[in-house]
Order: sequence, then structure tokens, then C-alpha cells
Amino acid sequence: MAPASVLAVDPAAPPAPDPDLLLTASVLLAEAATTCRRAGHELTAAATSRRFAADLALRPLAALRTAWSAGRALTNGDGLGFAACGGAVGEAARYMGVATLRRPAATAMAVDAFLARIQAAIPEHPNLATPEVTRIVEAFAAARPVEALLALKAIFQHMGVTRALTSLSPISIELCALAGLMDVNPFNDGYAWVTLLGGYPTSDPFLGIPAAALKALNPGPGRAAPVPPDRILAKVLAAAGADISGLVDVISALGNHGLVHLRRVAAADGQDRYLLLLPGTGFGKLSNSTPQDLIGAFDAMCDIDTTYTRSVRKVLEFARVPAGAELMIVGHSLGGMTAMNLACDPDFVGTWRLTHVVTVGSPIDNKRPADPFTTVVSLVNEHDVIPTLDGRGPTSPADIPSTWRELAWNDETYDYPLSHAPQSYSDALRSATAGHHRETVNSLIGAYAGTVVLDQPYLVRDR
Amino acid sequence: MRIEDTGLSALLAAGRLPGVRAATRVPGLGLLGQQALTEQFVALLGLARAGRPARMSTLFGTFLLPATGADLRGLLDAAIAAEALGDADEVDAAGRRHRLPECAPLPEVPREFADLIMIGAEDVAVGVRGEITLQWPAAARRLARHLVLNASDDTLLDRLAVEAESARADERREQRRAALDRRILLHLDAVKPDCFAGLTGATPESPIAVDGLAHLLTAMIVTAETVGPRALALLAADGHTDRAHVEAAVHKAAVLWPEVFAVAQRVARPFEWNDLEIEAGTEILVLSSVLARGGAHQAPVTATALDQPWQLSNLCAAPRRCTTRELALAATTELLVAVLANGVPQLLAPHLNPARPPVRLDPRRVRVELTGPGAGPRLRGLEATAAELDAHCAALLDLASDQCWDHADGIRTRGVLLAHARRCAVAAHDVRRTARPVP
Repeated sequence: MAPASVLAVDPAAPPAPDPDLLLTASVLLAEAATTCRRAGHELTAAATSRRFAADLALRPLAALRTAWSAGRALTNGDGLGFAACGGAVGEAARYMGVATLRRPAATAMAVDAFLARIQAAIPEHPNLATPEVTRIVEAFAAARPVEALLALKAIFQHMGVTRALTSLSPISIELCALAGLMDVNPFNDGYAWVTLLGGYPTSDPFLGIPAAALKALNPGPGRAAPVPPDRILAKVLAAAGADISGLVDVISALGNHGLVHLRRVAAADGQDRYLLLLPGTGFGKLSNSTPQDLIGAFDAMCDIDTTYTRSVRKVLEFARVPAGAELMIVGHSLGGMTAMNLACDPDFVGTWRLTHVVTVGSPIDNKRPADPFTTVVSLVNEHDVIPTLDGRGPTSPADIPSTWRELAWNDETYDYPLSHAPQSYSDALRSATAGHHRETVNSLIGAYAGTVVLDQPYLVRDR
Repeated sequence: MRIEDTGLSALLAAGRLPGVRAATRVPGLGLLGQQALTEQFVALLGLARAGRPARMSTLFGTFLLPATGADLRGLLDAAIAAEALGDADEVDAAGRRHRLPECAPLPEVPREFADLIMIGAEDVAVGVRGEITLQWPAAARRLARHLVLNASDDTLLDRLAVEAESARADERREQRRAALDRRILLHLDAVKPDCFAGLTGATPESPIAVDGLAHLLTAMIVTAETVGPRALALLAADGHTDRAHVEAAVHKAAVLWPEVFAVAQRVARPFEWNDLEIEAGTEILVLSSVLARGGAHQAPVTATALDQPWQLSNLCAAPRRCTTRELALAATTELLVAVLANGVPQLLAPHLNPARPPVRLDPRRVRVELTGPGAGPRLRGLEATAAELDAHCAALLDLASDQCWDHADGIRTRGVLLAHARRCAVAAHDVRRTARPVP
């Protein structure tokens, strides 16, 4: 089978196709690709399964005819292409096909579906219509890894790393999927197939390491101990009320070295409520002694039970937060993912009533809270790369539940990592750019306004 | 230890050997399975003891074991009349014990609740079509939430109920049960009408109401998810779907495939039955096979046996069907009636002969599809895939014909769509040729 055709991204060719029509084309191609893949699976089974062996013994002529027809269908370049897959024999054939660049029609359709998605994203993200980005996309789609790496090097040199990452962030999922489908590694194709129809990845896109294996890299029962706030934190805490920008300030002051914060509020309605603030990832090392590390971030993306969630439980148990107490969690980046992971855990929300989750720059769209009455608010700076890592790009067919509040804006912090910093988020919420979102969030979390009874930072550790 | 004690100990011990259990699942070896051997054992015991209950001393405890259904029901009737029944443990097929929760009584069931069940089932059944066994659990849970608390959207409620029911460790079960109680109390703070809680005036201040509602919610979900698919399998295999057949199928499924292997029912105070003195502290071993089927030496399942309200359950310690379980069966029946009004059920799996029902029927493996009246034969396997490929071809051709592609970039995209449509058509032809039977 020839490599997939390319839906060219040419900035000089007006008028651009209607993005909605391109998305429709993408969805149709994705569905056709999935059916072709299933057809390959079924035909392989028809010619290699135990039932086929039994048929061969009982009705050899019929069985041989089936095998012959299936073999022709599985290698017809005008039809399914080299489409054998599934089962020991099918997977061995597929590996051989990938290694020798003999790809099925399903892959060609999937590639064109992703390309249509990329093209549909251009009107909203004009940075994608540059020759550098076009070169990268075409290199990935045409299975030219060296050319793709050279194109990436060129865009980094031309724009700088931060601006290049920002430019590519709207299509990062599609690029990863294209790379996975068209490379010679047969183990990472699952990532592309999962994201194709708007599902969410359960393995890493590069090597195809499954979530369970990532979990093994992030062991530990989680541990929490109260610590006194330092002077900076104490000062920020004193100024922070039930205002989202103030709470994000506290997250900034907590840093990324293992601190989280628990606040107890005596609300105006006479009820005690609890507020937990969770910072994001520390980038110093791949793995450190706290749950706030890169390995923890990968783990939190694919799983809901992590060292961070276990540590948070320890915090609540240490503080003797009573069962059934109302709780709100505000988290930045990995902290927001952890907040959503806790919201997904029926055991956790059965014990404490998690009324609000407010995430700040977090990739959480692939997670669904166990309690349908949990209010989910996702604050997103659209220049920020990190929130797109959940697999839901601007043109992904997947969407978030209608009850969620996704409050997004474009501010002046164009480049990553500045666009991802909690300080940038709190500044934007105080500015005219996102000030209205601040009002919206504050009205949603109004139940947590009241007298602060307890402010206690905790140091959390993996073990 | 006597030979019969050794025999019962060996039967229970065999349940702990995974190899033995797996081997008896091989077709043709079902007669060597624990259920069948237990029936044989009890039949022999009944003959040896001339129908009198035997005191058995096994590795897993000392029990009084009635060997016939009539004896067992008589003994339990006498115990209930003397108010002598104490608490109970579920005894699983490996002899392990699990504490059964006490039966939480319900207030008097309002007459309007029957109408509510019918209307609720009809609402939930709207749109349940195609392979209905895939949609059944969600529909059943939604109905249960709606009927008990008018909380159709609170999906956490049923997760907590099922977790509380399935937790084996006592501490874990209590934690989950406390979480369920808190969730129910949340709804009782502003109880809605048109549900059991609303009709009975349940309030957060009445713990009996919370216990009863938790029991009702759990019973409705568990019954619908276990009895429902099995009854559906019986109905699809039988081909009749009128109300009378649905009711019979639900009761037959509940009796034929009890969820509990046995229950050790403790005697709290002494009583007498048929000149037999039963002391306090005695444990009556109630084997579900004996209670439901009456033992292998009796007729398998007669109409008389089906009429009996006896049914063991892991939902509560009551040996007879309590009001809660009757309501749960009624809700399952109504949901089946409402769903089956949407079409004709076809049993896809497993193969089932209603005249000779299997010893085990896993409700999760039942696959039933609903087809419209007069629908043609269902396409399966490769033929269905070929039809799907044809449909994709048509959809891609349709999109390619859109005039919006009439410009430079669009023409390229149209070409891509047409090329893939052609591949789908060729693939459909190839797949269909493979599926075609040899003349």
C-alpha cells in the first residue's frame, strides 16, 4: 500500500475549506478506518482461528476456499491493503508489515482523518499555517522520520523552543498519533487508534508503554505531615480569601517541592467546609521523593490511583476531616489532575463530599467525576500547552460534559512555560482579559467564603 | 468424623481448588460440578436418614442439615413461628463465611407505588433497542434510583449501593454502607415526590427509613442485574414475551439460579419441630439447591415450588423473600415488560434450552438483541462488516459530492475522499466473498 495521501496545508491557497466540513470528513474517515481495521481482524481470524483448524479437518475444501479468499482480501492493495492483525499469527504479520512499511488502508484513512483535523484547526490557530509547521506535518504523514526531526530542529531554531512548542500545541496530539502510526514501532499504534475516535490514550505515544507499566515507576503508599508555613506563604495565606486568584496565589507560594495546603472555613451558613490546594509538577528531576514529579504526572494522566492521591488522603485523615464533610480542591497542572483523579474515585467521594474541583491549566478532559453533582471548573490559558495533553485538541471530536465549566482565554503570555505558570493564571484572572471568569468562579465557590478556622500546609512524600 | 461429615467437608473443600472448579466447566463434566454433586449428596443423605435432618460436623462448622425441601421449609417455618431465628452467614461454595446484613423492614408500601414502577419502567425503556443486554445495567440502575429516591441522575448512589453489597470484609462493608447512608440522607434533606421515599414520608431523622431505602435500592439494582438478564435469556429462548410469560420467567430465573450457595442460619432460642428439639446456638445449613429445587431426587422445578416465597439472597438474612425483594422482582418484571414492548428478543449467547436450564448461567454472558417486528435475518460477522463498509463508501461519496470542495484545496480533499470510498467498496466486496458459503 502506498503511503497515505496528504491533505496539504498550504497557506497560499485561498479559500480554505470550511473547518466543520473538514471535521465531518475526519469523523467519516476515522469511522471507515476503524471498520477496515475490524475487517482485517475478522478476516485474519477466519483464516487462522481454532475454528478454521476444525473446519480444515471436517470440510477441507470449504476451509481452504475461505483461507484463500481471506488471504486475497488481506493483501489487496486496492482494498484493505496489508491488513492482517489480531491473534498470534495476525499480530506477527502486522509487525512484519510495519517493519517493511506495508501499511493497511485503515492506516491511510486514519492518517487522512488526522490531517483533516489539523487542517480544520488552522483558521483558529494561524501559527499552524507557516511553512515550518507544514513541513513537519507532511514529514510525519509521509513516514519520513529524519525529515520530521530536521523540520522540528528548524522550527526550534527559527522560533525558539518556547514559541515552537506554543505553535505546535493545538495539534500536538495529532502529531503524536501520526508519528505513532507511521513509524516502525508496532507497539505504539494503539495511542493513535484510541485518539482517532475521540477516546483517550492509555499508553505513552512514543514507545507504547501501557499505563500499568507507568504505574510501576511511581510506587509508594503516600505520606503527609503538617509543617509550619514559611514567611512568604504565611503572608499570601493571610491575604487569600474565597477568591480564585488569591487561591492560585497560594498555590504559587506553595511551590513544587511537596507542599499542599488544607484550609478549614466556618461558612456563613454555619457549616464547616474544607479547601485543599494542590500545586503542580516540579521539573528538576524525572522522579523525586515527592508525588509532584514528572513520573507522577505521567501516572496521573493514565490512572486515578497515584502517590499524589494517596498522599492527599493521608492529609485528610491526619487532619481528621470528618466523613461526609464538604470539600473543594483547587489544583494547578498535576494538582488539577490529582483533584480530578480524587473526584473519579467513588471511595473518596463516598467518604468526603467533593463539591467543587477547580483546575488551573490541567489536562483533565479525559476524566469523569464519580459524583455527578461535583462542580468541575477548568481554567485554561489557550497558549498553554499542558491542558491539551489529555488528547482533546481544538478539533478533537471528543467533548467535555455539558455540566462542566471550561473557562478559557488568550492572554499575553504566549510562550510555554510562562503561559503555564500559576502566577500567569492569577494575573490573567485579575486582568480585563479573564476578570469575568474570576467573577464566575468566585460566584460558583461562594459557599467556601467565611471565617478561616485553620490554615495548615502539609509536606507530602511518595513514601 | 462420620462418612457423611467427611463427604460434606470434601465438597466444600473442593470449592477452594481452582483446578477442580475449572475442570467442571468443561462441557460434559457439569455432572461432576459442585452444585450437581451437592444435590447427589443431599439426595443420598435424605435416603440414608429417612428424610430426617442430619447433624453434620464438618471442617467448616457444625450444622443441622435438612435433606429435603419440604423438611427445610417446615423447619424454617417453625423457627420463624417461634421467633427463634437469629443472625445468618452466607456460606460460599468454598465454605467461607460472610456476614449477611439484617433485613431492614420497609414501611407499608403505598398503593401508588405499583403505578410508579410501571410508569418509571416505561420511561427508562424508551430507546432501549439493539443489543439490549448492553444497555440493561444502566437502564436498571436508572430505574432503581428513580423509584427509590427520584434521583435518576445520581450515578454515585448505585455505585455505593453495589459496592456496599459486594464488599466481603466486614469493615469495608460498613464503610461503604455508611457512605451509602450519607448519600441517601443527602436526598432526604429535600425529599422529592413520585418515589418510594416521597410516598412513605421518609425523613433524615428516621434511621429505619434510611436502612429500608438502602435495602430497597440495593435489592432493585442487584435483582435487575442478576435476575433480569437470565429471565431475558429464558424469554428469548422461549419466544413468548407477554406479561404472564415475563412474570413466570422472572420467578423461574430467581429460583433456578440463586446468588447464594448456602446460608448458615443461627437459632437464637430453642424450639421444637416434628419431635426434634433444636437447641439455641444450632446452625441450620440452608443449601440453596435444596431450598429451590427440592433436591435432585424431586422434580426439578414445579409450579408449586415456584409459588413458594423462599429464596436465599446475599441482600439480607431473611430466608423468605421479604417485601423489599418482592418489590425488586416487580421492578425487574416491569422493566422487562416495557423493554420487550420495543421488539422481539433474539438470544445471541449462550445457547439455552428452556426445558433443560443449565446449572449455572452467568448474567454477564447473556447477550440478547431486540429486533423490530418483521425485521429480516440479522447480519453477523463478516457479512455485517461488509455491509458497514458499503455504508462508509456511500457516506464518503456523499460528502465528496458536496459543492464546498469546489476549490483548489477542496478538490484535493475530494480526491482523497473518493479514493477511500473506492477502497471501502473493494474491501466490502472482498469481505463478502470470504463470507459467502461454499455451494
